[in-house]
Amino acid sequence: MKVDIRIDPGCAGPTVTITAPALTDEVKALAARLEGGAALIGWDGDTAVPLSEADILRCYGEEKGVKVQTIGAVYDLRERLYELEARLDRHTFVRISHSEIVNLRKVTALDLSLTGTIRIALTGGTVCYVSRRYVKKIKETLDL
Amino acid sequence: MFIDDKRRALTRALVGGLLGVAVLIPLGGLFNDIVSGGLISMGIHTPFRLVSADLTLRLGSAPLAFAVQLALYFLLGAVVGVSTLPFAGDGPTLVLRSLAHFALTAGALTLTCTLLGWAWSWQAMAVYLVLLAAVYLLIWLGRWVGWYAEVSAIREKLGLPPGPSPLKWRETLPYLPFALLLCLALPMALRLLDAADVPVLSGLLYPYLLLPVGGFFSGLSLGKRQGLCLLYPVLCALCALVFIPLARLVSNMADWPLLPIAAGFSLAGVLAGAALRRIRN
Repeated sequence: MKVDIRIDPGCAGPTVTITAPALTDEVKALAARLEGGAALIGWDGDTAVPLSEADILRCYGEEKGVKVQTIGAVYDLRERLYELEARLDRHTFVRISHSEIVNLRKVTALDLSLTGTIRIALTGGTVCYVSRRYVKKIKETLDL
Repeated sequence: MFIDDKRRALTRALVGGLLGVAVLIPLGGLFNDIVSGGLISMGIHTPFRLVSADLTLRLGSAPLAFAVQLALYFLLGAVVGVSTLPFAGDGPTLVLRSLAHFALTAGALTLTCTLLGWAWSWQAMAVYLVLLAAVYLLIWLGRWVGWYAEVSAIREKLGLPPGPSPLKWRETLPYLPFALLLCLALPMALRLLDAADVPVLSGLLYPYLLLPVGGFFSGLSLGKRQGLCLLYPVLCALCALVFIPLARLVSNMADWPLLPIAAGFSLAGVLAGAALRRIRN
């Protein structure tokens, strides 16, 4: 990868523009790393556990706090959901309801009921429900 | 009650009510003549009857009847206006609110038809309500097809296997031969074998034993395998509907009760099977 640095005393802060022939997974991951900044830290009591986005199934609000679920465990997060929404890779993580963000790469099944409820099954058997208000967001994330 | 945004609901009700009055004055004028004075009741025929003759007789005053009639038109328009807003996102709340709105609309329609004399018998009123229910079902079906298309597109984009077919028609198809056998071929065969004076097979055995049991257990089997397949009771009803006029060729028996028996018991079976499947999963 060729990296160019241009110094412009007139600009307000550093910006990064990625020029690529196509939007590949590599380009998405690079953009996510540049956007995301520091790694996500989950808390198990007083123990800090660094978390990789690839391990996260979902983030959800519960009892006035936010939790993150991986395949093996559930941790507390210090961030709010809206902060996570901005921080996590927006091509992979999408808000599906007022209190839940899921990793689209961990979706194993999608079911529609007669009442319009969309049920998502994640790796490991976790089930969550998509609010109709957020279907448009999922479609935008998937470029539909 | 139906809408979370009460202010918008009130605005829509108001606009709907005014539009209802504007639309129903000319339409109602034509209908008033058809049912209250013209074609149905064989009374004095005029091309346009602004005020319902029935209501005028009831209230004893044409201006008062007109005022009540306008209020009814406004009410009908208002309930339709409220229906243009989303009741809820999805799920049980949407179902409950839709049912509540249907009940309200049916009530308003029944009141209007009764007072204005647009329903000359309970059968006529039943037809109006069935048509109203059909409209609601069609609208629901249209929305559901849209949701289905969205979910299919998302599934495909995520690389997931395709889900069940719309309304599970493909999953119901293997049960079509049984539905044809139970609701068409079997009653026809029994009717041909029956004695002319005492039709025990097709008049007693079939409607009270074979059809309910066969309908229920076939529905149960389908429900357990594939979940909720609502097309199956419709299929059974359609087969029974085909049988009824055919049976007229060989006998004069009233076979209309077979329709609700075929649909009802197969539906009960499908629901029971789907519930058992859900518990098992």
